[in-house]
Amino acid sequence: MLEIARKTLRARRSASVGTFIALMCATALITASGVLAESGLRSSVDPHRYAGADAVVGGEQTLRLPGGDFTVSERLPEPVRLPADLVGELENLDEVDTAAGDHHLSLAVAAPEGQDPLPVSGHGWDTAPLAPFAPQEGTAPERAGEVALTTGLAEDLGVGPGETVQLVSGAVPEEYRVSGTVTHQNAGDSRGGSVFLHPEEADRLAQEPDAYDAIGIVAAPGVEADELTRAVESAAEQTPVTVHTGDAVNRIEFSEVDEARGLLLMISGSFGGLAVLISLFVVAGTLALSVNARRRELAVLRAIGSTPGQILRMLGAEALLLSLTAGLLGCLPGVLVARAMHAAFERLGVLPPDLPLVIGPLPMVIAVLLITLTSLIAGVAVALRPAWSNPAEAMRESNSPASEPPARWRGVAGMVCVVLAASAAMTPVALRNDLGAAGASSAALLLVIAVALLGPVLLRPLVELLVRPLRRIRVSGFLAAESAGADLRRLGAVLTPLVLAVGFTLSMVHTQSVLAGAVSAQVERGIEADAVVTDTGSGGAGPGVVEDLAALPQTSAVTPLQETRVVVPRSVFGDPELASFSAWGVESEGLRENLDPGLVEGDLGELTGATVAMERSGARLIGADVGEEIDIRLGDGTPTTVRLVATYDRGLGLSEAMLPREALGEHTGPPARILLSADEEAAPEELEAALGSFTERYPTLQLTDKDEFADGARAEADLAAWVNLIGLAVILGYIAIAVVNSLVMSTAARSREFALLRMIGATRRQVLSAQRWEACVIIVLAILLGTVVAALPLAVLSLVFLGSPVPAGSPLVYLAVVALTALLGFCSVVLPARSALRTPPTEGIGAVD
Amino acid sequence: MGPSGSGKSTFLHCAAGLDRPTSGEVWLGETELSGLSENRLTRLRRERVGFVFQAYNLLSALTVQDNITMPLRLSGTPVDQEWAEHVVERVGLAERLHHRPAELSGGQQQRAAIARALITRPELVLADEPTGALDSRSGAQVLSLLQESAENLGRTVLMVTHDPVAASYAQNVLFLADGELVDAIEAPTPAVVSERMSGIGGR
Repeated sequence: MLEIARKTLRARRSASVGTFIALMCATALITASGVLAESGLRSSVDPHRYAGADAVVGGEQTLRLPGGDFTVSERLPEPVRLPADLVGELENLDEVDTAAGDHHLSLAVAAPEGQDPLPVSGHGWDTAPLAPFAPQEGTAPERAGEVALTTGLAEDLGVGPGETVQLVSGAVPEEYRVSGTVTHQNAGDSRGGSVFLHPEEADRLAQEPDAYDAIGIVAAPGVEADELTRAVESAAEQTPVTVHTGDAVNRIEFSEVDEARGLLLMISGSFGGLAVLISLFVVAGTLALSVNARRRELAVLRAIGSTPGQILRMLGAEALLLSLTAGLLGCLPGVLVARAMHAAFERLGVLPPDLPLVIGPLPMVIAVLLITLTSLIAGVAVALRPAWSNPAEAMRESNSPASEPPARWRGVAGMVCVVLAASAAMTPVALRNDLGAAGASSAALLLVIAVALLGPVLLRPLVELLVRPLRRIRVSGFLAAESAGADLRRLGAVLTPLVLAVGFTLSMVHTQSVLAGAVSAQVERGIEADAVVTDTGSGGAGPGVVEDLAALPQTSAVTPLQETRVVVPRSVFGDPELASFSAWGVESEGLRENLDPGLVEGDLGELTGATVAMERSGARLIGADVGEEIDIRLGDGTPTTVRLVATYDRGLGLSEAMLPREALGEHTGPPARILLSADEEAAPEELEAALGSFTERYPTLQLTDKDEFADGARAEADLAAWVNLIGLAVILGYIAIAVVNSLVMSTAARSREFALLRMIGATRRQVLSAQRWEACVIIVLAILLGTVVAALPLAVLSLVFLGSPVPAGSPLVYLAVVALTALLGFCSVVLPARSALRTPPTEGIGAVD
Repeated sequence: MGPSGSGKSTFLHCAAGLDRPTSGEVWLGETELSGLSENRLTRLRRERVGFVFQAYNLLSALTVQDNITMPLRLSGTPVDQEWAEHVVERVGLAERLHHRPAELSGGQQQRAAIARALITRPELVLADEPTGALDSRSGAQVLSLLQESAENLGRTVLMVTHDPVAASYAQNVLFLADGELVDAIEAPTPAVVSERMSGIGGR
């Protein structure tokens, strides 16, 4: 059977090319998302500061629930620290030679005049053996007022031993004497510079002095990694710890690498999910089209005595051969696509430049298997009808468009998709954040699938309406109208990728613009403050700075914003789930002067002590009413109970939850932004001047205003949009290939019809012109359906987020989508028709298909 | 008539201006075809020549009526209702005008194709094995119809066939072998035609 399949494919080379391309690109797409996912799981950078450690112990940074499976987990945004006592306990273990507790201090070092302060990571000198670092010039820091710099950093700053540098911690600058420069004993300088302080000074600057971010361990001689891990875990007893050994220590050394990997996983999850769904959809559609074009041949096979099983096996073997070859050839382009996406993310700055892609065989194997399996299933499924038909009927049917009514299951499945789409379109009502907004795109996709399934039923009235005026054009219009209306199943197969292209692009692009629009509108209305002071690089403004700002005579209300997340465990149909919300720690006093979150219910004035205010859809999601107590987890996983005192509207531009500073306690870092409003008696200019001279004294503080705050929020939304758009662009490229493919395949399969028309006296121009009209019918239908498919969910989204059913975003996007669709569709029909007409009709009429 | 590969179809295609001869001239009535442009040839074909092929003759997307009137539509000529009704009645498809080809039998399809060939009142009707795919009864109907169009409607019918019975419907039979005319008989009967054919086949 494989031999026959091979020969058939070879003989029908030109017809198989379309399917082959669709399969190859699908493999490439799935491989690319697989490579991104694998990189998210396994990519690493070389450990630097912990290069000499045999193990590094950190807190459990992933929140899980008892009874929840592995999907019920949430990465905690705040560092989970380990108690300082643990260092001594570990040091006492026989397996451990040295144990050193390490603070990850976010410091900034003031640069020579005119330049922005450099962010550096600060550590106690007692952690130097973990790298190991040794002094190159001068000495190690021996007193609280001394600091050692890595040589690269010292060169950048142009300082040497004996000179002074300004280190900024919590926005407060302090002078330190450079005791010496240090170098890594095994590797050169790597990611950014580090500064080493006297251990006591490091303890003093740490947010939690008696807790460490990590504990580095040098093992006793001859102790294996497994042994060490077991010993450390049993010594930690009640404290949940994660022990990293070998290269994995980079995960705890570079928290941004961990974040970047999380981002890669997230991107590959959303992009990969879409990519898999769409490519399987396209592959199935392409195979249906190719089997459809071969009905005649299959009928002949039936007539000469092939059993249905043999036909299925033959088509199955063809699908297998084709998908295996195409799959293998698609792997390499897949890697290239992944590389291109990786490079694009790097340029956007969402991935650190030294985090490499991990290219292993697993994604390729999965992609090839997935594609092979899909094409086998799809190939056999579409072959069922021709394979089981009565040969005599098959011969007759093969000569004509299928006339029997569409299968009932298609109608049922189509309606199910419509219902699902309706509920997906409603998610923004229930969940007014970016997750909810994603419901609009899901709804659009489901509607496309519904269009594909309902096909003929849906298309008949539309086509009738559309071709009516065409019939007036005597020859070409009439021919186009008749042939568009005659085979609605083929029309449906050709239309689906086009509708997908239009609907998908519109819904993705406008979902982003609606989100961005909502963010900026909410920020503009939600921030009432007259000025914003922002700290960049020193880990947030310390309490002293906030107090000093409040003490200025020109300021009245001062609201520091501690940005974090809170996680709320909830139960969905009895299964534990985690809902994660962005949260601001705020000072309740004067809050209402600086922020107007759009109160819905309750009183923001009660936001003191163990309380929380939430965006209303978030509160509804967890089923909490104002006045009720909620069990939540803070940013570092600490469980606490808070009372819901208010619900509000502007969760998208501000934060989805607000908690008073005292409820967050030590579990969240200091505020990076501080909102200020002017005292009644101070003119805005006075406030500005006072704040200007205030921030002058603090190198990492910057004075901005409400507009820049909004700009920042917009920039963040834009960045998220760009990350999404990169994935979208790749998927769209694939859909475009599918569009061209299906149109070219279906037009090329009609060369016999063209020849017949030519024989009975149609000029080449008449045939071409009929094809042009038919292309127009297809394009208009695709744009119409695609627009409807995208517009319905977008209208809901836009109504909820912006208060108007017309989605935000430039109308140019729509024009561009329409123009590109038209161009692509037109060329894909007219060019193959032109080339089919080049064959003399006497040959064309004899062609089998 | 002639054995496979003797050049029958090529001859037919040259006569219709679908193929150009490498040497020699093709005359259709007063018109010499080799000098005409592709567009002139197409126009000539739809005005003066009618075509009937072996099978799969009709456009599957169109009804029988639209298939029959297609050549008129292509040339932009209004339908002569009287003639059209006459032709449709002759081929016996008056009841089936609004069906699609898939709903017709092979013989009916072929008769529709003949109606299409006649609708333009062509001088010449070319038929390439028109009964090749039909049973003998439908074949006989189709052949009588072609014969009638020659005798009663005054058309020239040029038919290529393998079948001595089909050939016996004609007034003249020409025999082709290896691209050359090798024999001719007038007022043929199936027996005479078979005899000549076997003679040619044996050469």
